[in-house]
Amino acid sequence: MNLTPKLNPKGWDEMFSNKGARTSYRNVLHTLQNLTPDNIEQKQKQAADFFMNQGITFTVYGDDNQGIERIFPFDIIPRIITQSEWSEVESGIKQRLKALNLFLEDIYNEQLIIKEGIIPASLVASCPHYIQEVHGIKVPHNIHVHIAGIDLIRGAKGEFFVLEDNLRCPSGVSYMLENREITKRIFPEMLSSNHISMVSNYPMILHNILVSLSPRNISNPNVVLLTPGIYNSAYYEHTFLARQMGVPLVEGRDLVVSNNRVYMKTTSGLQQVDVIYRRLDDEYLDPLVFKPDSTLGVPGLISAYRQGNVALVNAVGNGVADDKAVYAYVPQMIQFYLNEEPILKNVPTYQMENVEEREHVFADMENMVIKETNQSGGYGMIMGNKATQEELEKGKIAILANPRNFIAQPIIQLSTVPCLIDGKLKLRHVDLRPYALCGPNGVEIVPGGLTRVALTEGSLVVNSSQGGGSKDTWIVE
Amino acid sequence: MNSHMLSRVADGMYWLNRYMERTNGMLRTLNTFYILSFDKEMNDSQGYKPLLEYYTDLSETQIIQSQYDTNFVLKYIVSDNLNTNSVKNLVVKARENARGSQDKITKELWEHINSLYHYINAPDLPNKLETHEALSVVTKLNKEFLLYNGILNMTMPRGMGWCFSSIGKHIERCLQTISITQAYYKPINYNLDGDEDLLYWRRLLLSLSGYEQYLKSYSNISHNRKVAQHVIFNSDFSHSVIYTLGYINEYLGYLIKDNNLSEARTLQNQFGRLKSYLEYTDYHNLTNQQLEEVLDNTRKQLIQFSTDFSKLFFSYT
Repeated sequence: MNLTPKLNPKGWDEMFSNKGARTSYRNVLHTLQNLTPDNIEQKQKQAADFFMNQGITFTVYGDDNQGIERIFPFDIIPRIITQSEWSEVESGIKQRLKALNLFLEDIYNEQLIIKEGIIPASLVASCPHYIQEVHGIKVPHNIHVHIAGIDLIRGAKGEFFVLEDNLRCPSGVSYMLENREITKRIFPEMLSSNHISMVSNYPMILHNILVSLSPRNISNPNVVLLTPGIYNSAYYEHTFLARQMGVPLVEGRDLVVSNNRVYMKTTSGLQQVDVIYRRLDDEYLDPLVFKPDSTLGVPGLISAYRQGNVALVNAVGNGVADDKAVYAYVPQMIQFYLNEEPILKNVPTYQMENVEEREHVFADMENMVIKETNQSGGYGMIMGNKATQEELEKGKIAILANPRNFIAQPIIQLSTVPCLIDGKLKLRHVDLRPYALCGPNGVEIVPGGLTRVALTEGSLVVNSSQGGGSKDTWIVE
Repeated sequence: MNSHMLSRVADGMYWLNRYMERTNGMLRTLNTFYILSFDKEMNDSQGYKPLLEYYTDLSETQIIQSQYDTNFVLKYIVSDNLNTNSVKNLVVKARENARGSQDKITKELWEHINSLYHYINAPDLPNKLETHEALSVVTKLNKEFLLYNGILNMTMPRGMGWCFSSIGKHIERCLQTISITQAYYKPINYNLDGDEDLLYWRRLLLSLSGYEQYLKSYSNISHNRKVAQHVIFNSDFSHSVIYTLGYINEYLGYLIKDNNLSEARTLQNQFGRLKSYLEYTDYHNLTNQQLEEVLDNTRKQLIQFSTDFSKLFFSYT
């Protein structure tokens, strides 16, 4: 097998430098060298069967309207991060989340950060995810972000940048856990010889945090996981987490609000619910407050939440803190609330509302990525180096029509990690989403995360909805 | 036992097992008829008719046209998208219910249902049913359902979910036994004193997994009354009407034990009357007319019970 892929001189490859294989990857490479093409094919098939049999699939519909289930591609070669690199990531995320929680507490109460002129009031007021209905709310332990999936990338010198903060319903943690399970099965010898940090305690930490948020001071509060239902693309993850934590998986129709308390409908009557880990976006939570035509949520839920009779995880209104335009102010938040320098850098971000910055971007569109501030999953994005002239012109018109709705960032060559494609090692761009949990005892981050891979050669878009795949992520000593 | 579970999830587990039991019964009947179709029996006047009558919504004319057409029946029963009760569609429905209650069924059970779903949806399966591979497909499917029952028994916790699963499974099994039994007694006017031979009854008994037990339990004469005794009243036969009602009664008792609603008592009384009606029927002196009434009344009352059961436990909308 060809174990020396052609390196990109302008990029950072995590497995190879121009001097050869990096130390952390030597054991993995040694194992790979001893595999025959048949061994590799068998391991790839084993991984695909594992995901297929577990139902970790999405459905593709053809012309005959017959759905075909496909798995999300999984590359069997792990991505390795050394303990010293991880320590920087860990402390950087902890710092960032501390500041973001303080920001959310502030922005829904005193709004000191606006009064001090750090963040423009208009930026917050124009954010579609700023929820006026929860202004003045007091959440348990002042924690708004309980679960965060912070997307990190590595630049041309291997340095980490935060690409975005996902503070609403970050998904993908089941892939982090299942990727490890399948790696245990296909490469037991590599796992036993590499001293890899454990990720499997994530559901236990999450469950402990959920229990600690109960408004009722009882020994066994009712915690539930609220899912939009079986047709949601992340439904597998919802069932996985509910099962791992031993909590009921409920849909909106299973819950009812009476006297500002939330109950679930059981075979022996109504049972009060104390904590809801909701995997439903804010706008679907309560048709009486948000989308009146949505049947996914629970009428009266926000009222019960405001009364403090039920805890929602994550809190309502977090979208204001992970808005792509507000993102640019996170370093200032860290300085304002913590009086510290940010450990993890932001990617330079240009606000399209700012005329000077907009002109700069328009003059250099080919080297920019344009993003809609309220979109995610790789949607609403223009890659300047891939777009046609016509697409760029259309983008400019859309920006001028609603500049608040867009930001621009210089295109960063994400780092690469080799993937096994057609029996050969080929460089593909990756990002990293570690999962952080905030509870009364502070922030905990299981050492690992979801590595997403852009499987198309040269592509920088890693989202699963855009053809991305994933890798197991090892933190090694 | 935990005293409550989500109504929607209970409903999902109930219907998961109803669909799986229905598919299991249908496949066993298909397998029986298909294998016996290789023998040119003198008295096979029905072909696939009992299977098509109970498990499909084909018209009488369509059934007459296709009751001896093995190729059509195999594809229609196993993989036809337009047949709402095909194995393929039933497995899809079972899987939907399993997905909705995925946090309450075991990983092993989910994985088995899921792999069955992928097998039945394989694009080349309909073509296989047109070749000599058809028998191996039907045999494999039957084994998959035996395995499902094994996994269900070995891995599922005995809590409320188990009760709802068991009740769903045994309501479905009871209805299948009654309907297939009717399909063999109706053509002979429920004649308990007739002299139909073992070849006639073999098709019914094999379809209900009760052939060997019948041979071991009864003398080889006047089968008409003995078969009725076996499939309806034999409490040692796991597909008999009386056995399945006993099972339902046991798990209904668990569910209602801590339920003080008057509707729960009413439901228990309703089921008690249904079960007693059969228990206190003197099958040794049963007349032809009484046999017809027993089967018909039990079926109607069981359907009413399943409706009332759903209203009491699953009315979550």
